[in-house]
Amino acid sequence: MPTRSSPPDWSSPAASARKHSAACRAGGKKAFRHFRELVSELLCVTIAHREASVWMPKPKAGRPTRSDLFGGHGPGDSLVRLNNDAYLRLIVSLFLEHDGPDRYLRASMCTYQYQFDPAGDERVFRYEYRRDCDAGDNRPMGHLHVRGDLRTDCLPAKGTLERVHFACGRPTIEGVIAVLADEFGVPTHAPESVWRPLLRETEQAFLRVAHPTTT
Amino acid sequence: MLAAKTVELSRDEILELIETYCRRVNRDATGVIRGYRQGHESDFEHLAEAYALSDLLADADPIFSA
Repeated sequence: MPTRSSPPDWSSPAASARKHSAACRAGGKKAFRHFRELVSELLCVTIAHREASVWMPKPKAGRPTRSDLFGGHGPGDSLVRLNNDAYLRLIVSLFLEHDGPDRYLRASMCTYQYQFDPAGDERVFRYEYRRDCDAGDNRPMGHLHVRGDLRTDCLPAKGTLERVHFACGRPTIEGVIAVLADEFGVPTHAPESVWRPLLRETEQAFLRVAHPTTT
Repeated sequence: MLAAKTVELSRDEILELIETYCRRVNRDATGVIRGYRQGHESDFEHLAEAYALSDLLADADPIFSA
């Protein structure tokens, strides 16, 4: 029996994340909920503050094969509070795509922004992905914006580093979590021996079926 | 696991939320919604929430016509 001094048992949330990852790929209407639970478990094991939450707006009418995932506690919120009291602005737009008789979960857009204030004035970086762009849109489908200053004056007139679209392939929630833990020092709940293999496993499973990005 | 919930929103509630996000950056919600659905809206810095919410509206929603 666990005691107060026992180390936390991370096998259960990790197993739960793997289960939800598989269920996301299985598709159908339940895939929306499984995606919500997957993201919730991954954030719980890693960088999310214990009072953080995610929510999923779903239309009462309109497009039944659509839903979103937002960070935060409900309408008007999109921020996941992190263990270092910074925030991850999390927005994913989801839909079910018909493939023969089956329907599979897809993302039409996502935004992951790391920021230090609720308004986003103190943002650090933002990953963006959009599946269907205007034909005349030359931006990479998946790209990264970095808010910072260059040491060399090399951008076109009036250009800023933040306006540069760094092509990055398909952004994943697993990749964002890993960057925040590895590069920005956001503390994790579970030890690295737990979270890193888990993130790799669910990310690789996703990327095997993910829509390829182009630049 | 983090707290996680699904919130069902009516069309009016979706539109009200979108308008709130658009108002913050002095943008007209109808223009933003139509532009995003047509593929030429890309202010993710300020309007990503509005874009995602607009994806929940039906293709036949009156806001897309006339």
